[in-house]
Amino acid sequence: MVFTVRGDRIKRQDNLRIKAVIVRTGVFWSLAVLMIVLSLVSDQFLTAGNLLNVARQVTVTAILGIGVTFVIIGAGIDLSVGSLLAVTSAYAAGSMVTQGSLLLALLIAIGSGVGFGLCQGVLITKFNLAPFAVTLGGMSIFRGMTLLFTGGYPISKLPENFRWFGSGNIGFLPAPLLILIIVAVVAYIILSKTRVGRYIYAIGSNENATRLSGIDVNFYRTLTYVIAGVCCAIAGIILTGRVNSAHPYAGQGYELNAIAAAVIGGTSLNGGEGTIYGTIIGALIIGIIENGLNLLQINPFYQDVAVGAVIIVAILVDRTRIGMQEKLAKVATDE
Amino acid sequence: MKLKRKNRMKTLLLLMLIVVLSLSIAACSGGSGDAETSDDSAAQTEEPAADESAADETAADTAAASASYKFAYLSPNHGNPFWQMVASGVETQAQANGCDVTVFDAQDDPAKQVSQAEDALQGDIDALFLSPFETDTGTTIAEMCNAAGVPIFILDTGAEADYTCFITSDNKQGGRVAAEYLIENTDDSRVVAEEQGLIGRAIPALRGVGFNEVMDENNIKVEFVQPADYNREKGMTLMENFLTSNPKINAVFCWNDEMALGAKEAIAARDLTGQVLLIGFDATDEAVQSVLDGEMSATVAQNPKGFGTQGVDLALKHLAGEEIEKEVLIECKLVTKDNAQASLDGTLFE
Repeated sequence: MVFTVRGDRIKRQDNLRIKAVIVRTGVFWSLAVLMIVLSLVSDQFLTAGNLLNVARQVTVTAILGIGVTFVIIGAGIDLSVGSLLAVTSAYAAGSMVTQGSLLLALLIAIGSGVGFGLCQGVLITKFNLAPFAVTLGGMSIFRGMTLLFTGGYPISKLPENFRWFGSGNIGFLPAPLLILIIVAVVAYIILSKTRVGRYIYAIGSNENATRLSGIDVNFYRTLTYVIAGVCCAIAGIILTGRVNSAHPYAGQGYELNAIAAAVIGGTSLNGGEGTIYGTIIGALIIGIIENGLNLLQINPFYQDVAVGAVIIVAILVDRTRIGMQEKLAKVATDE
Repeated sequence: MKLKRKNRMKTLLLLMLIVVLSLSIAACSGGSGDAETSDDSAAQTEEPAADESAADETAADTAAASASYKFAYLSPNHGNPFWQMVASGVETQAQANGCDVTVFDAQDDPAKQVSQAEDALQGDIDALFLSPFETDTGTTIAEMCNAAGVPIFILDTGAEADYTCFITSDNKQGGRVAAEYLIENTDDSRVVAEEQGLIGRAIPALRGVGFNEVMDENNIKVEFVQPADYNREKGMTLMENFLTSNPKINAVFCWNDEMALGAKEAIAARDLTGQVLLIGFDATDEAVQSVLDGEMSATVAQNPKGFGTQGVDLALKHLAGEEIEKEVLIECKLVTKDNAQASLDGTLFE
């Protein structure tokens, strides 16, 4: 009798584990199916030229998504990423055009990203304000600062070396793709291989327990907003290079795509869950949908519908995964 | 319990499959790339494949049988009636010559326009028609086309790279005409305001240059000048702010009709309709109707459909190996109550 009960339990656990793996990697399957279908209906899709284009088109959303992933894993949210992208790239472009030093421009971009991220982080942690509200305010403030700094004019006449980050190539590899790979690898290392990453996951899963363990929750949470700020700066430089000007309305609405990429990729809005590769796949799915619609000459307005549907499916998958994990835990402790 | 889990998994996979399948079904049955086209060309854009085979037969009959070319037109914002008219010009003329056009809508996002250019160039087109979001976007895309060896025809706004042809209105002349109208219809008690468009679009900004040239020549000061980005909402808000600053404003020049139509609402809200001289630019149908109804004083007609038509004609010449002019300026015409009906009837430039 004892044997049978145990055997049943192990069988149930295995079943659950397999299903959990399929569900957790569900985002890979969605991407794979999407790519297969598109390569069948369009003979331009699976060409090297097109895929490289997609890679170029996806980098801004992907990098913003990576930044936002850190914040969301820590159980926060950052709605200001679009505006933060604009203000950091406006400062950088302005410096580039007036001072002429590429290094200075890059430092200003990253520096302002860090600074503004720090401000938001401190407001959220030290003053205990809701991240939604603070970053919503940030979204407006940074946009306003961009408009003030640029006077409503786009900053153009940018030199080739600055534009390179957005429109250049190393061999056949687009520069933005290279930057994305570097950012993704660094982000992955921080998130999965260091204590910092572990603490961020911990804070997102169970803030009180983490605090009681003696970890400085405020510091690490603020760090996530700083990381998001840096990602915005990098994404901004790429976008500016791609579009050939720092436009005052750059990045408007991009926060939604960034968060969508994270959510599609399996980042849970409740915190404690999320991966870099997931976010990148999420960004790819959004980008490939847009690319596919363009290639197939379908009304681009379907794009918003499609992306929205994918988000909802992703959240459903997320909910199922949590349910499965709970079941798994329950089965494991059943006796 | 086991049943519940199985059902949930199945539902999820089914949902994902549905999303992907519906996209592919849309792909197979669709084929039209644009949402809002004017009535005459709507029917023709539905099945470009069918059109091409039918058009091939008629094209063979015509004396100057043009090959069936593939074009793409990149619109910065298909929601703006001005660009709709340009698109309509491109589509009508292209279809009349048995060619195929795909229209892309960048929805006012320069990054989207660059992406759409990349995707369009993937599609083996014979020429690209571009109305850039801004001059810088135009520059980037022109460079892309040059690298890909595809001729690029810039319809308005401009680009600072090498292009095959650039067609635009003589915006400066249009601005001057508007300014002259303003001076003739106001006296020395005038208080003048100006609503600018997106400063980054260098070519339409010439309207402001022309306008202010005439103002300077006559020593008239423009009291208020601010951008409203060619947007109706912003045009209205800006006008409200102007009137709050100085309720005595009695003449406004807006760089486009969208902003003027917004300003018109702000003026009406203060019961000042008819007391403030309101001049727009573009002569969109809605604005011209406004002029007929006495709510707007005047607008300046460009010939946006002409951009498209001329563009396609020049493209066909270029692809047939002929020399074409690099820059083409098309004159503007003032539209007031007298010729408003002609503008609506489409006979203004005849």
